[in-house]
Amino acid sequence: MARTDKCLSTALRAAQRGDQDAFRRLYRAVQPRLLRYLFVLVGEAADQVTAQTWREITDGLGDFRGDFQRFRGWVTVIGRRRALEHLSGRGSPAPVHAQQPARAAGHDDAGRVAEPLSADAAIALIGGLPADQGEAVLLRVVMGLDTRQTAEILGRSAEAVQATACQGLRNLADRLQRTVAAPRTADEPGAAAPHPAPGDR
Amino acid sequence: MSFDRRHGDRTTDRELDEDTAEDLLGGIWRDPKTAAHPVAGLLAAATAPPSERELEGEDAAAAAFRQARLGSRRGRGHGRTAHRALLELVTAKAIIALAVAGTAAGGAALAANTGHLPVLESPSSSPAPPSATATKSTSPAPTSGHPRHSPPPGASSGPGSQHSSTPAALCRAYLATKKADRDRKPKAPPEASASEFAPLIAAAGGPDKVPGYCAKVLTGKEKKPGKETPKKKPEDPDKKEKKKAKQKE
Repeated sequence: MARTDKCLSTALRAAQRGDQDAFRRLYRAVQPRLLRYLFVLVGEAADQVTAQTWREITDGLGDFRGDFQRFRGWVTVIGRRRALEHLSGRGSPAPVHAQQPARAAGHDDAGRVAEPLSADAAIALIGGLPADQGEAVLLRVVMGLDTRQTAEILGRSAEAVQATACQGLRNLADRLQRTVAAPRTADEPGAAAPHPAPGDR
Repeated sequence: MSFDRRHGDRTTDRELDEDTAEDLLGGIWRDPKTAAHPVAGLLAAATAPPSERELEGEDAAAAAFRQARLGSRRGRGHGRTAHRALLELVTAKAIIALAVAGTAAGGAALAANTGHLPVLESPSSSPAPPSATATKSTSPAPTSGHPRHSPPPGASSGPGSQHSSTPAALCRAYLATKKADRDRKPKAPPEASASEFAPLIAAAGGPDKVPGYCAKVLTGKEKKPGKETPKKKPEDPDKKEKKKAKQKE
């Protein structure tokens, strides 16, 4: 990860000097995660919002100062602001939390349970968390931000953000457990036992 | 990466202690137990390599990138051009100043021969001698256009130099003005005539050097009014000779 970041920091500097290939490397590294994060915030409008975000990024790239880690944070700030603008303009809350958990993998039948979780399904599961937990997990894991960056973006203390993200993970573990365990209940009763997840407080 | 459901029956593995949670959040899976945790699988899936669909916007973003670069380069190019133009202007001025200074220092005779100071022909200096245009045509005493100037006796110049912007004429006017000012009130502000004589001052290389410059210019053709320029060399030409010289001119 660190090496990747170094390479991407190099690409970032090259892109700032006008190297288009380097810019494409940045885009490929950032866009999928940005899209997944913003999908949780704005649903299908994420394509449009990420496009706006990239236009803003290209406009401001020359003035940006920092390495790739800071770039992640910068991109996230722009994308999040665009997403919130989109939501406020539409006057509706983020749609994903309600919709997506139904698409979670592993729900259908025992045969498909063993398949790898798709990115969409994983994002849907995270998006199904309480909003603050979901966003904290997305910022930390998907956008790759550290606690301090996440705290800044969410306007909360680092401790609070850390606690919320951990809570989100426990909650996820519990939901996974229930999801996965459901088809197996007959075979392995122990696994299916309702587990009072600490995350559900 | 799929999470391993064989761990599903071991509840201890599903519990997330703080360290494991932090490792998961930071993407650092130091402990194999962390990697084996179902949540690790989920997070790995959430950060899985992109699908083609997720990169559909790459070309559009690259186009925006090109456009932004183009815009910034054009903007910067303007700045660079302007900067270069400014530099060239400054350089040109410096060269002119040097040339003029050279003329002043060593080539007073040259200036006198050509009859015109290069700097006087620049547009910026045209307002300096307002009488020049008026008197250019015929008036033999151009500098007398300045009423407050005591017309220098020899102002009527020769055929080639009826122009008041000749170094000699300007010098005469300058020295006459200085004298007049000094006669009226010793503290007369020199700014009054400063703009008029700006070309002269520029040619001389500074206000202090005008007397010396004029001494050279005028001695090339005529005697200069010695006492009026204390700084000039004490060659002290007498005024009679000066008048003669002027009339020759």
